[in-house]
Amino acid sequence: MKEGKPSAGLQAISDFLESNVPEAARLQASGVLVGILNGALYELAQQSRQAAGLQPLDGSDKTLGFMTQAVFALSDAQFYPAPLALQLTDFKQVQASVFQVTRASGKNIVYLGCALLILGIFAMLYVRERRIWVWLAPLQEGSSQATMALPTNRKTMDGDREFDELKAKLIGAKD
Amino acid sequence: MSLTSTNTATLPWIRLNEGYFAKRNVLDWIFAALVIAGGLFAFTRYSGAMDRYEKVILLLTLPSAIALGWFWRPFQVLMMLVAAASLWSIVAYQGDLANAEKVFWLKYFISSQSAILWMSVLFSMSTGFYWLGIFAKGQSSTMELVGSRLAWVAVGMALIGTMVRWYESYLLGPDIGHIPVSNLYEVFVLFCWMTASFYLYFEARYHTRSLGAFVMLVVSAAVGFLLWYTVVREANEIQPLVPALKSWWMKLHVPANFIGYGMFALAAMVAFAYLIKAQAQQTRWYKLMPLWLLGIVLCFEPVVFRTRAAANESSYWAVYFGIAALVMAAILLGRRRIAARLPELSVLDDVMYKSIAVGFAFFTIATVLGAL
Repeated sequence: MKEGKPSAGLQAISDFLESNVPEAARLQASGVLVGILNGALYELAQQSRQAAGLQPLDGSDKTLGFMTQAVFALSDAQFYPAPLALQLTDFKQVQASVFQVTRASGKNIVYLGCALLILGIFAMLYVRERRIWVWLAPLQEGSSQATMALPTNRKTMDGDREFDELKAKLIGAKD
Repeated sequence: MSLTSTNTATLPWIRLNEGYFAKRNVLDWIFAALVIAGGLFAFTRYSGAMDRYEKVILLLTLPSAIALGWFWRPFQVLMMLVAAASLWSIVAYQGDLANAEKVFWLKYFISSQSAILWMSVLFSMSTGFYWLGIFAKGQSSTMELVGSRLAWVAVGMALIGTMVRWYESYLLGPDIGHIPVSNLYEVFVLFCWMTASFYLYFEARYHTRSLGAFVMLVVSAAVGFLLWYTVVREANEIQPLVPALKSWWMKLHVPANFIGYGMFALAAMVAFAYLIKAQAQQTRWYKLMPLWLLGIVLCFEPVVFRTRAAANESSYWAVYFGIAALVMAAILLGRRRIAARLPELSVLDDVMYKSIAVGFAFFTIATVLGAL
């Protein structure tokens, strides 16, 4: 008996044959044994049906197939570790639906907030505050000197370029 | 005082800046007329298939497209070429999806699969040329020019692929059709062309092409992910939309989100270039180590989107990280040369600020739209 194998079912018969029957006669012996087993189970089935007052099984292919599967099932039941098997006999389906309804009464305020958020982001990034200061000082009779300054709240190259353009256009300063 | 006032009276008016419409030239107006004509044609022909919101979106698209083309003139050329190629592709399909395998131009160039594959190839080549531009002696500006032009063509191919894929999805079945911004494959294409086109704008705006090597690196990483996703997961097949995504908010949410992602990725790569330039004179390897590790972490970007790593896929990503580590080591080894080619630190700072500003604003919009 090997470790982990069940001590019953078709596997047990096979193990028994391997250890007790010489190899030459093994095929014949197993045929006989399985024949006896199947025959005995068939008779048992017929008797139990008779006792229960049912029609006896006919010898059709369908019955043979059922018997083969039944023998396999009996054998494989040994692999099932629990001492009992649960079977579903009946069930009643209960239909159910769950609805969740929410009402966001502040919806419009949230939409307004979203719009303002987007507006604010664009204003923050793209509206630059710039101021031009021009200081005129008398230089000599009939002419004056202009000094120009441009502060901005974003230190980007755009500001420098704009200052250069304005410098040339407004006060005509050359570099 | 009186002197000043008499002087101002005789001075001519100075116009500080030309008006918005005064700056338009003839081509601008032709472009606007074409956009309006095309949009109204689409509206009269297909308004039966659109619901109220889609009609409003289509009508709002017209002034947006005109404003975009007027804002930066190369976009006019891009939009016109993409529109022409897309229409050509639609004509070539003749309403039958099987033509993708039969008609020569569709099979090799302008069916969505082919166009997206071309985009992948061109973006990789563009990255290569930008790097050649950094390291090649004497030929730098030529190499960078080639890289820039290839990136333009790649953006065009990506857009054509997207447009044609949109049409193909309707050929599969009228109820399957949707704008291709709904799965990971499609949004990665979106990411690639969005990042590249923003970069190309900055390239023209700041008159420097040497940042391309860095920005195109992240686009190439996205392309690598895209190819892996196509080959391993066969994500290029068009699937019907799941009902949760059948909202027209999605169509605004996803592009807005990816403007944000694209700009942040661009800013991250420019910041990496900034660090390289700032550390160019550093010679002690242990001080460069954090920068190397940071570079490898930057390459994690596509992995964020990778879901459920299976055992057979991990070898691809092992190779990917091996290559990433080697590339980053090579960048650090060539840091002096790179630093000499990169523009001033103040320019890098400005590009970063601009791109984060755009990314931040659009990410806010995307988050609000996603929550609605």
